[in-house]
Amino acid sequence: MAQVTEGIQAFTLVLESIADNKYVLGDQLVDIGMGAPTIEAATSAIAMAQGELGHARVLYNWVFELRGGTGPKPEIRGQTGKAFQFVHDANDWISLIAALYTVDVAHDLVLRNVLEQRRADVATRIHKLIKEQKEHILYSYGWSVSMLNDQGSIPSRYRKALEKNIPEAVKWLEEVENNSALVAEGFIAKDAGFAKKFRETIDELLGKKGTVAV
Amino acid sequence: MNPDIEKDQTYEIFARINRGDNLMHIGTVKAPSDELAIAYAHFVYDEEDWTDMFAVRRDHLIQIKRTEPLFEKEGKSA
Repeated sequence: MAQVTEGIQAFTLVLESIADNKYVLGDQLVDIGMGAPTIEAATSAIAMAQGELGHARVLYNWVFELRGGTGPKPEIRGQTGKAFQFVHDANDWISLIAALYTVDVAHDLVLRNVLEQRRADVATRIHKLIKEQKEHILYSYGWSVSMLNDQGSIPSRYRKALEKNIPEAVKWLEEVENNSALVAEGFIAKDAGFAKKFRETIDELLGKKGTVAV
Repeated sequence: MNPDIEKDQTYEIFARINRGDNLMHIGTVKAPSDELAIAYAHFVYDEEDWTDMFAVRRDHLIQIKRTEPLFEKEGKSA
């Protein structure tokens, strides 16, 4: 059995955070997504929920293996408590899309950086994950742009919902990028700058999309 | 929320199951942007593991020939 190094331990915590967000988003996409504004959006939300829950299950099982677990995979009874609070708090279509986009951008930055390090023991699974969530990002981005260009109070409500999520996502990204064990064992690059890139991505979305109604 | 459905474009969705198969028209989606059209098509038409999938905005299709009506429209004939 491979030794569970400090880096692997840190990496499993990152994977668990991602899995927890996906686990909670899976439920939220069903609960709130059913009331999406169009039939295509609702159908896609349900399909994405299945995808998120499937990814969460795969990640929990992978964490079990990385920690040296053998034999049958443990039953997944719930998330491990690392999901972002704003994902729990999403309670309408606007806050759900804001949560989805925030999580998608944050996860994508970390996963792509892990993939770029080309660690043979993780690259295949990370590559599959990134590939399978491509359309999720298009969805949350597409809806974000749509809401920022909508009429009435929707743009300002969306902007407010998105801005509320930023501090928690930035805090998590800073924790990941500053984890010396992850860097030392080649899971992420030195000076990955996740938090900075995250802010730039969000600023780019907010900046180029028209004026915001009061 | 009441999105302006009028702004949505209709996209025709085409796909093929196996490499080398003919491209089939499998349906349509309505979306306000190319990004959402791609996402909707991916999630809505997931009954097959398509090799290729394409979305074309309906107003980008070039009309070459069109069926003519069999009868004159009522009240229009001289």
